[in-house]
Amino acid sequence: MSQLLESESDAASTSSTGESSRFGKASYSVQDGLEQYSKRLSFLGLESSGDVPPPEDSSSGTEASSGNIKTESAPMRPAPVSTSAVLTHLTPAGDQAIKKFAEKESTLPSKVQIKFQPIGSVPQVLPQSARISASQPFSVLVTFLRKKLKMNSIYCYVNNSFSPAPQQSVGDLWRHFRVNDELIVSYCGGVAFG
Amino acid sequence: MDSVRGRAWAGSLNLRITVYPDLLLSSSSQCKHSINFKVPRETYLVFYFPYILERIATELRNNVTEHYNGWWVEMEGVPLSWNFPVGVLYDSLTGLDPLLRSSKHQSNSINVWELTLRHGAQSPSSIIPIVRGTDQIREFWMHQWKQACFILNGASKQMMSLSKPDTMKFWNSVLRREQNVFDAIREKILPILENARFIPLRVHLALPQIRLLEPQARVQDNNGLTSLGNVLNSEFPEWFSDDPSRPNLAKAIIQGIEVPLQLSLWHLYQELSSFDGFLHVSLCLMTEDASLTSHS
Repeated sequence: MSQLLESESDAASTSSTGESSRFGKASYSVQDGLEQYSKRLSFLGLESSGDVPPPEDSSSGTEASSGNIKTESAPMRPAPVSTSAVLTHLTPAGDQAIKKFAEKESTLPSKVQIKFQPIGSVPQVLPQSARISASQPFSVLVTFLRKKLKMNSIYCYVNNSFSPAPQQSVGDLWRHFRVNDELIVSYCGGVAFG
Repeated sequence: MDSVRGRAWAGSLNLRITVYPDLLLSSSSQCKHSINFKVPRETYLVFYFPYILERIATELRNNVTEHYNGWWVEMEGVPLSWNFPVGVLYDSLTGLDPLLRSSKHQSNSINVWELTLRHGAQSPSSIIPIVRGTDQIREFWMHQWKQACFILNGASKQMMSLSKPDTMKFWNSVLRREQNVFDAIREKILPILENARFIPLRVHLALPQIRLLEPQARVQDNNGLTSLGNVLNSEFPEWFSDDPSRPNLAKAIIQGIEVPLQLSLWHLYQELSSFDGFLHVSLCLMTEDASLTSHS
């Protein structure tokens, strides 16, 4: 009997692309601009049709004993236009390198185990342990708890010590602070560790 | 040795912040409203929001009722997350290549970072809404230090056991830019080399998309102190080669300067880490026609 927990990520809107082009400086040609645009799309995993990539998670039914936090793909955050202009001016080796990097990132759906611990009178979220894609930012966990517990504000801590930056990936936090292969996230309705 | 740290602390950026036209009283006019000022690299840009708003208040369509909540700045439509040192945001978002910056520099020119001030009921999702003013910023910064302390020492105890006066002095030294006070309290948190476990290291990427990575970086292993090159090679083998005959395809930028990869992380942390307890590294991709990368 598996438990599936649906949640939405704080997915960033990627609509800034069109708007930002208004600010782009005319320091490169139109052709450069088009080429750069298509490169940006391909690195971001978007086809020109504008389709959002489907959620990669297809293994949700296999984890019987613990929850599986299903999320949308981690939010995409494109760089400023004038900065991404370098994409069309990389050396062939540099071009290969960034493609390889983008590919590596997109094939990193590995999941990590999270354990939720309430502090004080807050109810225990069920299931107590869940799995989430390592590439998701920490803010997704906060949003998940807030929705699940129907609370307006929630304070989350790692190892009963600190509250990480919301942009940090859950995977990086897990690598640094895991205890018995679980990232322990405690939560409270008010400030617990100031 | 001290001079490196002193220079990093004194580093600054020139900003030109243009008000988004829709916010202005006279949005139909052609003239743009901008303000120019200089900020230290080692600060949160959000500290300057009250100052910016005070300077532009008379030009705005609506009265300023909040100095933090609902405001943010952007570079070419990309919102800046206020919760990183502004110098780090500059290095990573512009893909700064210090070599090109200096080759283009002339005695009668200055580098200016052009940003846009925005306002909205809902901040972009990459920005933490500030609903409790400076208290919230201070608490966020404290938690960054607790995290850095945990990485260095294996627990946040050193940070949590600072006395209340020391904690406030630490925070005030950031606001008042008092390096001596800051460093004296920082010393109480940093372990001696023998006890140090990992380096609080953050790597900022702008391409292929804006990403923050926090690799696990041991202070030392069996071969001695871990170098920046060791970590970058293991995390980003695509750009940083472990074979000296193969050139690297990216540069590591800390505090606006290109740092030699053979330097130890421990040494770099002592000299160039930021006021939030982390050593921030931005990656700059090398181009064949490098002229385009120096757009600032």
